[in-house]
Amino acid sequence: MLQLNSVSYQKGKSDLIQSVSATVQPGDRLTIFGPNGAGKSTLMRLMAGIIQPSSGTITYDDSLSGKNAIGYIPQQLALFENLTVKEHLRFYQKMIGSKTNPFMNEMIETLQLKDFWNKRIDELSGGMKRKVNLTVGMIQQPKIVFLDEPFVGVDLAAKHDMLNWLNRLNSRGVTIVFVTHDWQVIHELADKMWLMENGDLLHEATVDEVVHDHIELPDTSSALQKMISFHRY
Amino acid sequence: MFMIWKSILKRKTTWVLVVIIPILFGLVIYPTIKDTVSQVSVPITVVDQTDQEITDELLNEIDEEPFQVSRMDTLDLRLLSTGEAEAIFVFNDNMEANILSGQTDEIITWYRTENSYVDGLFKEKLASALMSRVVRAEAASVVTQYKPEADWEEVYEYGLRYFEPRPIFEMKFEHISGVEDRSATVDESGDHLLFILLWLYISMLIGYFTQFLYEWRADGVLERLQMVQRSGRFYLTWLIGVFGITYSIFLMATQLMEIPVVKWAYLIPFGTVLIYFIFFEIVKKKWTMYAWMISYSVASFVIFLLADWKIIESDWMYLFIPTWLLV
Ligand SMILES: Nc1ncnc2c1ncn2[C@@H]1O[C@H](COP(=O)(O)OP(=O)(O)OP(=O)(O)O)[C@@H](O)[C@H]1O
Ligand SMILES: [Mg+2]
Repeated sequence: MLQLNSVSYQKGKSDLIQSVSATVQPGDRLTIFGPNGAGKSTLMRLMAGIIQPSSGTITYDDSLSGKNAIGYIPQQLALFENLTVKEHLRFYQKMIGSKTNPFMNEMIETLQLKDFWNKRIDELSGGMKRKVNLTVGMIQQPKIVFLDEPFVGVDLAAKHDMLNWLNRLNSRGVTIVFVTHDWQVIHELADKMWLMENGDLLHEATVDEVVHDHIELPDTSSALQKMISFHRY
Repeated sequence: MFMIWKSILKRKTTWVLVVIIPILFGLVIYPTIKDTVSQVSVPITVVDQTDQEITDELLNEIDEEPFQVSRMDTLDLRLLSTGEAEAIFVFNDNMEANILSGQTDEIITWYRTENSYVDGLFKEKLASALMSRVVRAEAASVVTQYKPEADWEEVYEYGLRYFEPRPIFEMKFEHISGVEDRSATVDESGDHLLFILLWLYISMLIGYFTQFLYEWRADGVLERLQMVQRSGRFYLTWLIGVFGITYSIFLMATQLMEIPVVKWAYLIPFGTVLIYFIFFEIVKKKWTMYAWMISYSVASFVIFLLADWKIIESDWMYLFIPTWLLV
């Protein structure tokens, strides 16, 4: 449904993404895995269409051509500091032009946003902000969603609820692409892994293959190798 | 989309900048500037080559607010063209003797330009001070002629009681033309100072609103809006709000301060907002933008004043938006 053909991205003189070719299939549960600065966020932003590749192309199939087909939850909290949760949701709901939104209500329910419904963003805890960030990014009920470290600071109970909910969406056909440094989340939310380092997509594999050492990396002492070895802990 | 303005208006700083500062300006700074401007507004030069006592006497008598009189002992007509003097009055030698003997021709020469407006008032005051002396002297002479026993001095002192003042002397009027046109009249240059302060304020206000765009870009809010909808509408909302606020302030302030705004001047807030917006698009870092805009504002301030004083008259000065008032 989404295809990367030798996609590169440069900023100034440095290559942040170096000639990546890969495909995301409908219904995938995919995680992009790699050390800090590997280019994971950059690749997600390219796929979400927020930035354009310096060279190469990204093609989407028809199911993703609609205006609200792609959801993106940024690593930063892209929220208005002094607006309330309620105001945020109402604002974005208006933006996408929908009146009744059962999907949004479902999210509100799952993430228990009503508990801090009328609080301003700058009055929320880190985990609460993450929940709002997630809800806002998915309010348009996307067909594919890119989540950049969505669970940072979210407590275990809420994380559990969010994971369940994302899996439920996936079973309804929503494609999920995410970045995390949390092996537990990978185990619960991913089937496939893209292993990245220094802007290179080194390997595509299933989570099982990675966990059972069925892959070989060119540099066995790299940060990526170490990260993989932590899955047991 | 109104929500973005809700977010902006929820900040106290916004209210301080948009409401409190204009009120403070209106209540405190505006009257002060108006006053100072009118106090120092009419520079008059008096030339007296022989430094006569009667000059002191006359000037003391007409020492009044709107005039700022400076005394010199040589005539320098350049003062008129530079605007350092609104008018020059040359007191001829032996003035006192001439007055007392009733010899009133050409005792004072008056130099002015096409652009001298209020100096006439000074002339009137000078004339009346002189006239009372001439009248009393003539009275004393007449009285002593028919009544030799009368005391001249005494009659001179009380002369005004017996004679109605009449305009018996005329000043020689010399018009200096070809002097550089100073269209900045007394009142206008004060208004223009207020105007450029108003513009600096508006510029700062727009800078404040632009800061939100930077903030939202840095926070990723703009990217997010781009995901759900074209960011075009977002910018439009921002622009409409900023235009609304700046135009309200601009039009109200110029009305209140009675600054005449004609054709091009109406575009001043528009141009200023646009320049900030263009800077936002091309300058990625907030502080770089501020550095540029502060430099631009200061440069505009200086260029505007220089243009107002006709020191600069080239077309490039219109790159600095406030000068559009002077078109
Ligand atoms: N705006 C930018 N300008 C220049 N370089 C950038 C910019 N944003 C990111 N980079 C560089 O691009 C590389 C990849 O950044 P990216 O954010 O994609 O990494 P990441 O894999 O998401 O890391 P993390 O796990 O820390 O989130 C890094 O080396 C970073 O320094
Ligand atoms: Mg990242």
